[in-house]
Amino acid sequence: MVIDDQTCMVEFALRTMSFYAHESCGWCIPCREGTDWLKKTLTRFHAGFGTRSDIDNIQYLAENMLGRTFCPLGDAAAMPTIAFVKKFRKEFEDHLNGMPCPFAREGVPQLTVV
Amino acid sequence: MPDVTFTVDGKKLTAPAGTLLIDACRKAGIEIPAFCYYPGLSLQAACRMCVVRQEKVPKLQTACTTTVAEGQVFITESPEIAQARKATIELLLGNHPLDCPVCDAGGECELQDMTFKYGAGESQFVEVKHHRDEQQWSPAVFYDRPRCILCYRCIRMCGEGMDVWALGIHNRAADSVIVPNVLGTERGGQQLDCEQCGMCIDVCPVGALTSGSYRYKTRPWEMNHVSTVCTHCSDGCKVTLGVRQANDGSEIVRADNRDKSGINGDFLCAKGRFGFDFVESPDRLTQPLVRNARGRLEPATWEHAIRVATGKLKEIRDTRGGNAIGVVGSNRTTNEENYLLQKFARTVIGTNNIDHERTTDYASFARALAGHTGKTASLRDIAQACAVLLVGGSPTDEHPLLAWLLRTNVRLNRARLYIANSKTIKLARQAKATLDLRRGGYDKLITSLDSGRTEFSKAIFAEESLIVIFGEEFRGPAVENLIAWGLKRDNVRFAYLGDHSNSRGAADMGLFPDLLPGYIPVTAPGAFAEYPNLPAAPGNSLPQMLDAAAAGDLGALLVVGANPVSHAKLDPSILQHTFLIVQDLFLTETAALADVVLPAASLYEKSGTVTNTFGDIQIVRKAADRAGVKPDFEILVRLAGGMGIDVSTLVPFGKRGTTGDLGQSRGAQSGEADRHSVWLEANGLEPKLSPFDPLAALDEIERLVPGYTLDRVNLFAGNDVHTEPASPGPESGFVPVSALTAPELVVPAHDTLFTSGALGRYSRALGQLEQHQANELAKSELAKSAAD
Repeated sequence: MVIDDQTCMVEFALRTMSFYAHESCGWCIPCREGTDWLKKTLTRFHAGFGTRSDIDNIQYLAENMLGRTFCPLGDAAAMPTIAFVKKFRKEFEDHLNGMPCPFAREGVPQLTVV
Repeated sequence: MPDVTFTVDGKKLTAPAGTLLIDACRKAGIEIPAFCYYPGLSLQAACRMCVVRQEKVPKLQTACTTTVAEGQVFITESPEIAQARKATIELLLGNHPLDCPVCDAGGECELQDMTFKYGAGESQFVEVKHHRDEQQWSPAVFYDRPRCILCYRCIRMCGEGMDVWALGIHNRAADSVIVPNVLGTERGGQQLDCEQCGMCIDVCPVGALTSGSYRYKTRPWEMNHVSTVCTHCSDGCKVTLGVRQANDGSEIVRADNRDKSGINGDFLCAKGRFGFDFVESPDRLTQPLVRNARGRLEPATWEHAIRVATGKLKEIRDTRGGNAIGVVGSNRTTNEENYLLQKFARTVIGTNNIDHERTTDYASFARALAGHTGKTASLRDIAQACAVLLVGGSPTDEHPLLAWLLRTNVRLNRARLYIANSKTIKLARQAKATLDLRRGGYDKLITSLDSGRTEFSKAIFAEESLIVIFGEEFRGPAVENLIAWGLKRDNVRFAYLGDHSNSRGAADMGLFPDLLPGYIPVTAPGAFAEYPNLPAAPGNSLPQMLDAAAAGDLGALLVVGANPVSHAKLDPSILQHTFLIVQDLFLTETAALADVVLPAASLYEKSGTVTNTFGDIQIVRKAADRAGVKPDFEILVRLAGGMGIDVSTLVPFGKRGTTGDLGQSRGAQSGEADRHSVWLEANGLEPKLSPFDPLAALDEIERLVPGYTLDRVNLFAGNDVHTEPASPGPESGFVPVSALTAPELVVPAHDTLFTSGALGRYSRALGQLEQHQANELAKSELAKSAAD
């Protein structure tokens, strides 16, 4: 994937998880509940209402989905999420001060979330 | 399949190749948790709770889909696996309402148990949970969506197990929801048009599906759980009754069979699961009634009622002879009671005027099979049969367990089911071949089978072994012909379908004017020689007794748990010259005409044994209690006592007892008495101190009734023991009245899914289900006519 360096990675994680939460068929528990839970947490987190423990929680959830689902859709949802938290933890932490997204500014188009 | 050896947690296990790992582990006592896996249903692998580590496989594997092979190595308990299971439960609890304190399943919830085991008690989920309002799908089934963990057990049970397919899934992902089949109405997706068996409630691992009759009533640990036999149809399902203290005894609050004991495993139909509430009916008789001088029934004490009844019986016997008295027995009382009733009629009253409301011609069945052993099929045989020929009957409605076992046998063991019927029955969907008997009828069956021309008869002839199950369409000579056809071939066994919980027992115990227990003719020389004053001539059948009553020749009629007035559609006035004594649960049409009404205990309120239509005898344990009523056994002993008989000649109790009762035979309420009897036995004392102990009669039944040689260890452990009818063959020249001369004596009940004769009428739950079904039918017909 090619992503502009101006893109908010939390928003991108949310955009990704929204896709998988929508696509999940609901068959197995880790995927059905995990994608839904992550989508809700990321939505709240991105809106600026996150806590420090949420960051670990997001990683914990994704790690516990990985390899446990019926089909690879759950893995596909978990893998990028783990990577987002590991590689862009700083951007997650920047969301913690109760503000709207710190990367939102004029001229940068918002990612649409389903 | 050859056996393979594999290793689980360092233990070497052996199982046939291809066995599911979860089954192999459970058999070896290694617990593997699972929500979606359910034995006998298709595999789902959706809950991911049964994950295990398999050597040389990168990911955790689900034990429910892994088949074992030689040399495999598994680990089922490790920190990694515990973490995986804990995470799954945390995810489930994220949307689970945690209303355990008010949830019906609290205390017996699989999710609750797993949460305790894997310790996912703390939630990090602060988001709002999904919520949907609770729905009532039918009078029997409620659905609480938020509690649902989507294991799909209910969907599979309904579709695969019941072949009803009334449940499905809507939406996807976290919005997935179980929906019932009635859609497109103003309450679309909220109604259930099905057989209302309640199996979906039973298999639900959480409290998402709850029972209309049990919900919010009690907690599992507040009940005593008593395992007994269902009183409705003649399949004889084991049922575990949840019993709780009540003001007037102890009440039944729930019926299921979660311990999967008995022939039925966890299966119960709507009648067994919800139809127990007739015992709580406000119409239930709880005091004896005696007709007063003004001709009205008024409440009386037991002593007074027994005195009035026995005084009159004694007077008529002594002045007009025993044959001026008639006795009608029941299809629902225990074997011991039926045995005692015929012994009472024959030795105390001194008449063979005894009969019952026959729903099946067991007398002809016994006669046709005379001299052959091993030719009757037990329900367990049917469950494992390679091939079954079902002739007549409608098992889905009248024998739900039989239908369940046939379906399951076809589905899991690829059994071959052949159906010959004059109607289209639901089981035809499972049939390998069907024979339409609409034209020609059942008389043409044997010609058709022997023709060898049709595919159907070719297929039947190709079968190496066969179980023939036939319904009440066959009576008298037709039974003989069918059985004669089968006896000509090797490996053919038979089962005959009757209607009520102990119809077979009533016949086996000799509630016939011409047959003693074990189908021995009363005219047979030396039969039951130990009975004092046994009358030698056959007595009157039920219609003959009623004719005698109309002619004024019947002085008294004792009716036990039967309703001949309604059953034979009788003109009530014919009984006006007859002194009528009725033992029943309710003031039925017959009881309303009685001079003395004695309130009887239901099958759920007594101990004893019953025999299902396949000849499998099972133990009945006392579950509930109702102040004021008495078991028919006790009533009969009291009647005999009131007539001045030494009751120890009727019931061999005290020193006359033979084998000891070790105490396993009675229900929870008699725990003290049971311990006492164990002590008595251990000290060489006689445990049967009471003439009201039905097991004393069981000893005598075993001793005197051919075919009732019982494996007591098995029987008292709660298992079914197969018996065979024994009767002197046709060569003896004896023809039972019912067998060849009067097939019209047999009047089948034709019960449906929600009716069960007199009992069903007094069950509120079954009434509601019947109404619900009628409403759904009317609605679908309306929709159909609108579409046209």
